[in-house]
Amino acid sequence: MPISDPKFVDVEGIRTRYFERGSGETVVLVHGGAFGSTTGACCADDWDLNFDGLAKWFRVFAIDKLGQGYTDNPRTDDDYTMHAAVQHAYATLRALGIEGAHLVGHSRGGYLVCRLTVEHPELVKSCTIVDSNTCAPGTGRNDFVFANMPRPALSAESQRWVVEKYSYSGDHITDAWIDAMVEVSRLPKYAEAVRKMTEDGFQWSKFLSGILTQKEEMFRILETRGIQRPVMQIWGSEDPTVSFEQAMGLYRILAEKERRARWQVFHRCGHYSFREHPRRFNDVIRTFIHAP
Amino acid sequence: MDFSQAKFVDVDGINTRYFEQGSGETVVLFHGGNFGSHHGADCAADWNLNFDGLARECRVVAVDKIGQGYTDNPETDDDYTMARVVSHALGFLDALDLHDCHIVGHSRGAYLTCRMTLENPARIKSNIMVDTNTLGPGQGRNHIAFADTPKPYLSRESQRWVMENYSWNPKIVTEDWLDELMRVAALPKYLESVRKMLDEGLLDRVFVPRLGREKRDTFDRLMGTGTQRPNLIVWGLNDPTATIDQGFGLYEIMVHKEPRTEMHVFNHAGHFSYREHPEAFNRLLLDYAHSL
Repeated sequence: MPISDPKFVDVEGIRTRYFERGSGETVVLVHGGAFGSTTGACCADDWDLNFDGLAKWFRVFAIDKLGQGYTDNPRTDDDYTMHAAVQHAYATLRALGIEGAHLVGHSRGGYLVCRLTVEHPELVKSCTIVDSNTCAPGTGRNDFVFANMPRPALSAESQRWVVEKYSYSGDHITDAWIDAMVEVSRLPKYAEAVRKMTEDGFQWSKFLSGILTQKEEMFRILETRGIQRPVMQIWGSEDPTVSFEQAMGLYRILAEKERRARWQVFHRCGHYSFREHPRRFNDVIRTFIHAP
Repeated sequence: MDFSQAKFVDVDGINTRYFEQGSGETVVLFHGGNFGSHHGADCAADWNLNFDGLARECRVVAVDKIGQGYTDNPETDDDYTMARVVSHALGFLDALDLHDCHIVGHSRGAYLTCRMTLENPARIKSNIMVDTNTLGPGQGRNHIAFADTPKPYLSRESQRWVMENYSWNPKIVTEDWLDELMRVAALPKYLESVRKMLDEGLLDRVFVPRLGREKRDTFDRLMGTGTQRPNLIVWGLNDPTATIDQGFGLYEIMVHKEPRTEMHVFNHAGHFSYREHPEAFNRLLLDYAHSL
């Protein structure tokens, strides 16, 4: 079941979709992927197996990142960058009046929450990075894991194939989730982002090259000043795109300067640990928030 | 943990000390080390930073393993083996009529809990293993880390040195813990076990070779049938003796046949990860036990 009751907020001119439920400590869920991705239209609905469970204990937000889900595309061509996605997420927290947040980010969203914590520790109580090679040192394996993806890209068949490849088991892949992603990918603004990223080449000229330099910057901060907040990595040991070496590399960087660095490993678990083990995933988030 | 509240039970003729407090899920703690160790007189007091916190939310039992703490020594020279430690621990569960236990083992105690789970899964609800090179694949580094152990062995300064070298933060070696280790080390029966292990050579003649063979059998069984019970592996990133590589090696072995296996890593944590992060360790353990 898709998460019910979407809300919208104006974030510096970017209409931004989010979900909000529950009370208590504030948890903010940030999905993966990027605007104009042709492998899948990730959005806040990625968390549909976790959202209500977490909302029983916490005040939970799930936001659509810049240019993804039902959130507007970047305003200018120069904003087709991870940097802009981070700034938008920051502005979203401000617009929603969120302080003292426990951030949880998946995949590219893992980089986002880590970067956001480094830049704005004053807004963050803890940071959880889930199955993220974007955030980890070294090279992810996506390029060849998703070779020969079924066409047309972003069709239901194609997106289902991608999330199956990402997963240890396809059991968590529901029609409702696939439908939600397909619906996003059919939005005119999504098609526009695909055109810019692929045909105009922003994917390579702006987005990926930008991540590389921004990551090096972030690692320098993590290794000198540290993240300064409790931080946890959650990793599925059968993630085909995040190797053990990458997960260990990220953990060591996080642990270098931050005592409260934790690492939870799930088995029979690919890239979507929060979907493959939703109950235990939620438990571990709660465990960490209650005693970092 | 109030050492004056010790209880004793007869386990097939072995007078056995234990501590018990609280109600709810049953958690049984097994410390590390072995009878007649000249490095440290480990006993149930190893858990003194965790015991009271756990007792607030579950029924917690901490026992002195055979020949350690205030528990009687093994009956005969042939009983100076880990196999006897296992049979005594299973006998202890029988003597107290403990069922559906979450058994937590540290170091040699984790070899013990794994072996207990293999031999009598019916009594065990989950098997939690902490920082163990006795069970982890490969060779532990104790002989390197403790090559320069100060003499006289088992003096306060010697035991302090050993425990501090095991640890990330030397402050976790508290005076009340050392007091109890010193009391144990001064017991005539402990001195006798040291004499047997070292002077009479039971360590090299009986204990170590048999453990080697039994460990091989343990791996055969873990790779053959598995524990058939959920496992949680907890490790300190900075353990100088049971390295993090051994932890992930153990994870690989445990998941081979038992999919319900998780791993959790603490930073700034040496061999006694539960002493370095008592509150976070307790929370992790309690939430895990309650999730099953």
